[in-house]
Amino acid sequence: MMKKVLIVLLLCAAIPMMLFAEDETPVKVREYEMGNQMFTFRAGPVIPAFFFRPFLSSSDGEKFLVFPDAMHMKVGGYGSIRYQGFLNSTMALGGELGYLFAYDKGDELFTSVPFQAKLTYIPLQGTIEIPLSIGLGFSYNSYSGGEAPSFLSMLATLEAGVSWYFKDDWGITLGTGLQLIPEIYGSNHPYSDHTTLAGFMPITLSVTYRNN
Amino acid sequence: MKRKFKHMVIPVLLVLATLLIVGCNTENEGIFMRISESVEKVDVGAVTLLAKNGDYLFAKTGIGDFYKYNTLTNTWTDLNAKDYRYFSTVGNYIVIGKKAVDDTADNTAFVYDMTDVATPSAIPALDEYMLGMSPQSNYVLTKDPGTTDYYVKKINIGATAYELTDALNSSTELSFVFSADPTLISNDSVNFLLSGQVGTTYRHVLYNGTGLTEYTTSTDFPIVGFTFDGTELIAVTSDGSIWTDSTTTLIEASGSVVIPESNPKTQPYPVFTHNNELYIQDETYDFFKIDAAGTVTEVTTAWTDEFDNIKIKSYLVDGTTVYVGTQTNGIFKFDI
Repeated sequence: MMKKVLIVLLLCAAIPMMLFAEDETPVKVREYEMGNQMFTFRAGPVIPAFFFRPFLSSSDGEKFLVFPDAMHMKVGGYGSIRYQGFLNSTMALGGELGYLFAYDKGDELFTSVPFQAKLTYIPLQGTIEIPLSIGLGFSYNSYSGGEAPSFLSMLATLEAGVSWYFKDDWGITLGTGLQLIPEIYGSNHPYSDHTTLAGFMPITLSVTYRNN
Repeated sequence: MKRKFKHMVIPVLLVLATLLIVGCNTENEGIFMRISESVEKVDVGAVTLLAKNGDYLFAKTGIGDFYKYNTLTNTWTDLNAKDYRYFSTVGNYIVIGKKAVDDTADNTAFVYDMTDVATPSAIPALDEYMLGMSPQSNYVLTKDPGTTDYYVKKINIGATAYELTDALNSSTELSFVFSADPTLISNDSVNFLLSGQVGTTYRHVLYNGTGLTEYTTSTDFPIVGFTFDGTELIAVTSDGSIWTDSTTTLIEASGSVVIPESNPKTQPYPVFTHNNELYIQDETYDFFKIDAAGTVTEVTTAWTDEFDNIKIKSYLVDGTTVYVGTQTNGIFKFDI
């Protein structure tokens, strides 16, 4: 499954490269400044990365479950739209609204709608860029199993990627990262030991439009 | 610049505090916990266990078929009996029948010999208006079309003929009057309970293998699960109320269980009996046991954990082993 996902992503990255390979017009390296903006559309698979249950007793299960098989999940998907404005020549601040889904072993659907503030730092700039992002926000999480429970949680994200600007205004980014979703129960709750920090790893291909 | 950061600290702290508060989930047992305990679906649908013969379990499934399940290899075999609704167990035989429609008797029924299920035999002249069968015992609910007269009968299987006879094997028909179709429940080969509406309340009649007990207490809801150990009755009505008996009087206990609204009001709800206590899974998949005093106690042990994320359709008790037919996850078993 992972192999197929990587092949698709590489093809997605390679096709635009081939399309613009013959364009010999030198691309002018853009320097960002305050007020510049970026619009980004992202999509790709999401790999359930881990469940960490710090208060779970060993008789009730393992504290740390890593990757889909152990988590009883399947590879899902993630898509989002993002808008950011530059604060200075290297930092951009904005927001992102997304949709994450993944099925569990019993084919019940887990969905998460994250909305977050996102700060991106771009240390390497030019035709090839390396954006590093952190995000903080909320996530509305739902599950189709049982009584179809849902809850609103906080959300933290970390991301890194490699961008290639094949046009002055347009670029594509292959990125990955970690979305952290805590499900917290107070000490008086009968299931306080079910408190879980969930990690999901989206691997996304993004299209970015930037302008002055 | 310093000033800007100073101004940002307060809103950031406020956002963090808000996030922490809304991140606390108090509505359920934990979505991520449930996911980590999820179980692969089995595509036979809801499993109503009928009988066990040797290494095989026999079951009616949600996809409308009659299956046998090999408990050693965990494999299903379709016994090709489609469109049948009622199943009853008679010794080594399983009887399957269709539901009567529009007051028309349907005598299409078959007998399967569990020791040789490849050769089903039709039941001749089963000319009755069938309303239900008890899956794990030999009781059939019938009705006189166009009347309010209901009968509980049993199937007698002879060498060459099969017939419906009175449940008590007496010359007098075991008949009851209800104003709407009653619920027939039986969890073993001996007892059955008939619970049905008379006017605006529900009437309950217990057969204990030797005779009938007509309870003088009517309730606002039908009984959907019960156990009877020969002297004590423990019953649950469709609203989750618990009832015990004192001779012919039903007494409501202080405790209750939450039965999911998805369970039809007049359909039996899955329960099983162990050590004269009634075991039941509630709406949130937690298990409770109810003793003869009507005391409700939550059961938390290794086998209950296994069903944290599994909705149960039926039980079949075989000594200390309990086989469990589920809504979407096939068959499980545990030792109690």
